[in-house]
Amino acid sequence: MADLLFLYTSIATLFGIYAILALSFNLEYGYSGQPNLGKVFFFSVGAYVAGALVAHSIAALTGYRQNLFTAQAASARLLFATANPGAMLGLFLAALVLAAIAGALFGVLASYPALRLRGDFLAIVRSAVGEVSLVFVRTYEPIAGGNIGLGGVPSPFGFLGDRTGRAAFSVVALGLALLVFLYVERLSNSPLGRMLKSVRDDELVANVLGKRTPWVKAQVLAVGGGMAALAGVLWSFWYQTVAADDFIPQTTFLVVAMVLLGGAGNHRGALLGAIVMTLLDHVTRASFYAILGLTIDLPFDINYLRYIVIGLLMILILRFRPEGLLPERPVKTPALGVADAGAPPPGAGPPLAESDVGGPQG
Amino acid sequence: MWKVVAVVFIILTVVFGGTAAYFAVQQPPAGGRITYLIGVEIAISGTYATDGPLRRDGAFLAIDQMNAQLNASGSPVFFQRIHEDSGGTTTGATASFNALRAAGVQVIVGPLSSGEVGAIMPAANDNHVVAISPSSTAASLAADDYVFRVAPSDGLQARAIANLFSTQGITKVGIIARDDDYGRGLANLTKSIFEAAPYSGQATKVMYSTSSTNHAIEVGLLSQAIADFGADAQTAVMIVAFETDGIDILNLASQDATLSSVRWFGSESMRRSAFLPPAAPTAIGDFLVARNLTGFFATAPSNPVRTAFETDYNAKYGRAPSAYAYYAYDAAWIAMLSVLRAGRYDGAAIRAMVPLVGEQYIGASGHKVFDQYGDFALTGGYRVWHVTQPSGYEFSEVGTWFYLTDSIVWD
Repeated sequence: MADLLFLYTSIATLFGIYAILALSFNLEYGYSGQPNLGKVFFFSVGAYVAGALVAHSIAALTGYRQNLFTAQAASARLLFATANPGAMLGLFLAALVLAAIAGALFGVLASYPALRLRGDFLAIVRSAVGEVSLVFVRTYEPIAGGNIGLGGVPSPFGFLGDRTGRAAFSVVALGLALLVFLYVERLSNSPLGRMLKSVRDDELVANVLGKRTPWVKAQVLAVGGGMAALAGVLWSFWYQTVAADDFIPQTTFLVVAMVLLGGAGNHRGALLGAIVMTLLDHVTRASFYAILGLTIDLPFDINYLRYIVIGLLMILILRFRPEGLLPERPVKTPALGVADAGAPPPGAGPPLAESDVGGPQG
Repeated sequence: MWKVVAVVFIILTVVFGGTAAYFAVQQPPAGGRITYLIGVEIAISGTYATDGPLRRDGAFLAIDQMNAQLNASGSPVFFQRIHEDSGGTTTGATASFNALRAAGVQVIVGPLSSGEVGAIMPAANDNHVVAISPSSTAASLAADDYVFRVAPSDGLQARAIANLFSTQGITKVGIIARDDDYGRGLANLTKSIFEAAPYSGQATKVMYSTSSTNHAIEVGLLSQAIADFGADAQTAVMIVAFETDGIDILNLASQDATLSSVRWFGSESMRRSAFLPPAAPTAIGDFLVARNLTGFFATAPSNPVRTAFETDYNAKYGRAPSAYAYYAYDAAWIAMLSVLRAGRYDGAAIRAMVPLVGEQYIGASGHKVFDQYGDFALTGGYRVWHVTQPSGYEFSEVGTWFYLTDSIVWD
């Protein structure tokens, strides 16, 4: 019997995760001009924190002393989660907080190369960080089980049952994505947001005007890193597994594609890019049609369509609409509202008369 | 701006909806037709972009053959395959598994890697969905569960390889291997078994990233390691690679004087026509012949099922199957036979039938008996092959390593 609820929850959750990633990259690249091509590293930090926290915490609580990366250990964790829903919810919340902090700290560290490097060199260094972390975690087994990975990361809502638990998780993922969107919208329309744009548009001028651009960059990378780490936590709890090989450089470029497609410098554009990629991921699976009761018989493997379509979309967007589907909009500030309406800003008094202006009298 | 958004969504909906509608075939229930879904969770992208499609085609061939036979016999049963590309990652495997389960699948051929199998194992057990992996070989995944594995574990092949080194007078080995669960597992086990008694050999490993396209550094490290060993008659190289990375490594090695002076041994993944001319450059073929590349393949000698599979595979796809395509073929056959034997499409019932089917099944990769954990229990042995050039380049089988006696009997 096909399960339509699975489709809804899968699309909703994946959109929530992609939205957070896209918003984080949009903040860094679209608003402050820093193409963080090591995005996958921050994403993985969240996942590793979540996996390690769950595995070691449950082992400590149950007195489990054997290898944490075996099928038996995974089963033990799942049993614990079913019997202790409160503890699992607590671990989930703790993972979110710890991962955000870890992602933010690594974000500050990632800003240091920007002190000396620019453009392509900076992009290469940040991209290399993602690859180095992949090799390190794959080789150093205590973090995430090396090549085998860490299975049995229980869903925090597993106690509700499979279907209800998935539905609850998807609501949480969407809720978290909404909170992140509201946050970045407020941040982007704040003085910090305007400073980010000034650094993006002309860092020299921003420096001349006395803005501490290295500190600004560190701030935005900290925020972006924390956001990406939140997405990593959701990812690990949703798929209930963590492995180094899941965090490959292609993930970064998928995030870049979302932002370029939707429109850099526009958070709604990032959301649009995320929903397009989410739908693309689902409609290029044979199981999608099987769930809908359809039989697909194409002369080629439908799974290849995903990569072909993403590539085509990128070519078309960069060729015909490089600003994205939803281009950047002016920053919403009270002054802009005044300029549009032709009215004095709120809280302002009547216009000053010449006699009210100070100066030599007589 | 919202017009743009609306236009984009309309276009996407029309394109995908129209495509789905055009190609969708509504299968009316024809005379009481019974359709069983069979999931094929085989990665065809990522690190499996080269070898994955060949394994997938092995499973597809089995399903097509079964359907043809059922149709010819007038049976109302039809196996509808649903293929999911897991990408070779654990999250991809979980996503694909859940998608197949949501589609109503009760038996899956796949996934490929041990990491993927470990990821889906809890869900398979909780939801009573049978998974039969063609190529997971990690010993750490042995458990009494809903997951069956038809390929011999790394430990068995490592034992055979260590024995082969010994019989060939090799005491020092440089291993170059893929840095994934397959390559790392086999390299680690081979090294530990060969360094222990009774072999007491020396081994060093050079691992390379599966995403790397140039292996000059790793080949250089391997050359240095072989030179340090003395590069004499007791020194050898063992390679654990797939097609694309293997070709690059062999190409570089053939140009290295040190590596061109010692014996070469390979994992069963090296037994592929892609490494021989005309698919590969003649220089590589000559190198393999000169270095007497030798390896193992888990199948029985003179196996007519294997010969028939190779013929049918070549006829259908125009290319020779890779080593693990044989296992994928057998995994699919075992899955379908188990469904038929169970008499109903239920995971628990199918699971109970798999070991019974395996006992009586001799496939392209030999007799498939399962142990108490649902893993392949090697009752026969590995065939020993090496690269020769009697007329054209080919893999010639020259002996059998027997598991029970841990010895090689030459033909």
